[in-house]
Amino acid sequence: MSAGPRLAIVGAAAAPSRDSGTLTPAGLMAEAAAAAMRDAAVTKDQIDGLFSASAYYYLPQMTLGDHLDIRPTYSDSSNIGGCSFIAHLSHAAAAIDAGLCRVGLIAYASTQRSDGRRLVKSMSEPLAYEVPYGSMWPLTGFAMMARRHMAQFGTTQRQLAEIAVAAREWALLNPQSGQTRPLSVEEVVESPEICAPLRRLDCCLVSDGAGALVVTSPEMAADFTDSPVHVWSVAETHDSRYTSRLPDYVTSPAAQTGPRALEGAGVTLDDIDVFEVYDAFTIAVLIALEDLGFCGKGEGGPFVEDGRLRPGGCPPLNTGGGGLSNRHPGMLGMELLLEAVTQLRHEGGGRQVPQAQTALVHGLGAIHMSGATAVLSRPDWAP
Amino acid sequence: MNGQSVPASSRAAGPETGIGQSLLSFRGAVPEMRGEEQRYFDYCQQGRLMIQRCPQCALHVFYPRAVCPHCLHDNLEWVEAEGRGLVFTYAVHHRFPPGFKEASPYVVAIVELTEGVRMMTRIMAAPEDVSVGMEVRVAFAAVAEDFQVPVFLPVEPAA
Repeated sequence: MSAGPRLAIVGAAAAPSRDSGTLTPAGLMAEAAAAAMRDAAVTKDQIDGLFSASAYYYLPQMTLGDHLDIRPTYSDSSNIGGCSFIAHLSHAAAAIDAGLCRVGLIAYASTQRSDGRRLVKSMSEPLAYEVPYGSMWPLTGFAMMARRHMAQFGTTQRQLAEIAVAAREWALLNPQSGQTRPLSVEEVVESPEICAPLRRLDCCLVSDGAGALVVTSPEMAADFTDSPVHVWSVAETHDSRYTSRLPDYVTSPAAQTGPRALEGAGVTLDDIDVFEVYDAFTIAVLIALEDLGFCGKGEGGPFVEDGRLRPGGCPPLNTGGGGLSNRHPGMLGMELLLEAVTQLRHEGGGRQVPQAQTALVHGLGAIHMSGATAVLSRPDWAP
Repeated sequence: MNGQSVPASSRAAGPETGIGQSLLSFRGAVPEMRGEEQRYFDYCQQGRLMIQRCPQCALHVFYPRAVCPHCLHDNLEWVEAEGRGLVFTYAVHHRFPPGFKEASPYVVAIVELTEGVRMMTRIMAAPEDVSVGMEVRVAFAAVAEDFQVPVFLPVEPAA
């Protein structure tokens, strides 16, 4: 059983200008940070821990601190890819528990859409043994995972397509997604092949976006809000950097971090009401669902094909439309956390999962090469 | 296999295969390289697919490293790969990165060598002729003037 929540999220916000295309990534990140601080009613001088990860900035938390003129006592730019911000929750809890800081700010921004959809230079760090062959990061690796999953387990394009269809159904309930019409499985499997077996509609959107969280200890949270979101456990790991080093192309780090996070919180999947799972590609979700324990390895295709991931089904997954149909600003982890906070605050409007008390957030990094899983809850919930 | 006493892997791409030289080139990219990366690609320019083997734990290693990831021995030896393997998985690129102006889709694959290590490569065959588990053998393809990289060709079934 868990000893109690490790951390409290007392402020959360996206950047108001995230779709304007008028700001630098640093500006957008600062705007999200200021909005999260307003949400937490925390003053700038109360922030003494800074956390960020970026594909744009070499020293992102220093960029953030400079932009806001914050001089922290604890600073962390751990970068394990898109799930970094989920890992930052754990790092913040440890730092606060150790007395290294009291109130942390976790922030991220990307202007990938405004940048012309290119991967920024640092994110596309050339890997000498992969560059000559015309592979594309991370598209090639996920296509390889899809191919291997299909060859080994008989998974079909239509089964993968159902994940994109379900994401669109959720996005239609989220006015911020801008989506106006549903997708069909046929549309997905007839969309152009990008990197076969992945088609255009198996791939996430390319978005600008920014988000920030204000975190503190569960004890100090009452100084800021009556309705914090509690973080009960976080697990992280990584296992490879080169595409050729993926362990088996059908299993992800979620197989490690999922069970560890659930055990750390003293819960099982049945205790979780809402799931936010990194959906850069349809195959990424299928593999993560297997690894998190929804079904056995290789059974993901049959598990999803009956439409259970659509609104009203079970599990409630990627309730804002996810990276596939809502927003995918480079590193999706922050967006997953923001949607989980929205659901646990019961601010989801038409997409709100009724009476949601708990959420599991699972992020990946690179090509399912890293993973971080967190279990969150409303403040009045306990395992 | 210990990777020793095998024929030079470049011979697999010789004219006797009936594969025209023009097939074994594509407009790829020359990587930035140094150190152990440079050494690996220098061998490639000699038409040799060289991988590493740990003299302490006897396991093969790829990509090239300074330290054995299995036992941390720090003096890995270079050995020539047999040059044969199986397609572990692959992706068919219809979208190309900058500089890869190809007329048709190409196959980027992970090949598992008989020595047990896996590498990224290309399968120089039409996408419809490639499958997971198929046997392949190494060849070398020019991706720029004076720069070649290992690629793989299907092993034709015995007539």
